[in-house]
Amino acid sequence: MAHGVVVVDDVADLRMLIGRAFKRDGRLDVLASVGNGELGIEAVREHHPDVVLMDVSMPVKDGITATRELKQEFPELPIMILTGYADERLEEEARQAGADGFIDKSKSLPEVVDAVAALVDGA
Amino acid sequence: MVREARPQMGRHRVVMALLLVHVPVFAVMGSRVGWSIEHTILEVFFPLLGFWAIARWAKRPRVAMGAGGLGLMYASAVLIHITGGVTEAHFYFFVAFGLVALYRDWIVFFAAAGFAVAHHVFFALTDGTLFFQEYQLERPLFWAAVHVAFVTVVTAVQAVGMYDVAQHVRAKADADAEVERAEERRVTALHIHDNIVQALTTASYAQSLGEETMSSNALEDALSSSRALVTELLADSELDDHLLVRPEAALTEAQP
Repeated sequence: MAHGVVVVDDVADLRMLIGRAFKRDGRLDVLASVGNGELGIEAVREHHPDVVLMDVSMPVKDGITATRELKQEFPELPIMILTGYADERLEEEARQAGADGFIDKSKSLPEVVDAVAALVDGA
Repeated sequence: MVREARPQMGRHRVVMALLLVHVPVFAVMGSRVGWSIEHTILEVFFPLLGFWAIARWAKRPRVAMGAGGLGLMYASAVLIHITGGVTEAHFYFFVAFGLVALYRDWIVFFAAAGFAVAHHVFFALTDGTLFFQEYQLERPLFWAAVHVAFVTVVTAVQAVGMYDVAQHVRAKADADAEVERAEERRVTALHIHDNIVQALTTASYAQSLGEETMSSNALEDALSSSRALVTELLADSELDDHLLVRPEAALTEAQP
């Protein structure tokens, strides 16, 4: 059975492509895909996913803040950060916020799918 | 002139308090030298409280500061009058000058200097209480001119100091504004950089899923954002030759 995922990213095309890749792979099923951290938190409360794929730089609420708030409310929920800012300080900040994984957008789509699937399988 | 409302207003409150302190002190001094109540009310109470009231309630800061400065000058003149023109009382003008200079306002400062000059010239011509010493009373205009010369020198020195401070404050304000603009450009550049990465990621993901049109459109978006980034980074810069000469060739070979 596929694991439920909430995808949080402000680029609609990316959300669509990631969702299609997850569906094609078969291990992950997108329960909701939303465009900012605030909507991401609401989506998690509504859909109770097995894992969250979270962008960092977004309008309304950034991914680090959303991760911190989600971890306070759902400590066991695995969260994978997906970002274009490949920076060690940012990764450290994400870890401190409670992120369980960190992958930058230079990785290929299959690598992203594998990383998210591995995170939820290992949780 | 330097426009720094907060420190000036703090100093203004000190000047206003000093103006009030003069009133009872002069009243006591006046009574000891035989001034009548009416004399004290007319020469001390009304003028000093009038300066204080304007300094307290004037809506325009410069008018308020001007009243504070002229009030201190007037207090110096009253002190000379009460003491019968003793030399030490004249020094009080210089104390008042120092306080007025703290306003760092050219107009207020020169108004105070003008008051001191006018006071000395007027009383040298019309009144015998400007000076105390015999040799000064014999030639009041000459000694008034000496005092005016001293006041002029003090004024000039203070003016130079005020000008230097004004220059430093202006330079600091310019530097602060430049730092702020640079920070705004940095944030904008980061956002544009994020747009480029998002577009390139979209292109890459779309290509891996066989979405050629979406991939192509995303690449065009990335190029467009790159141009915006260059425009942002070159903002306010001259397009000098050194910006166009690279230390090494651009990356032209595609990775296998």
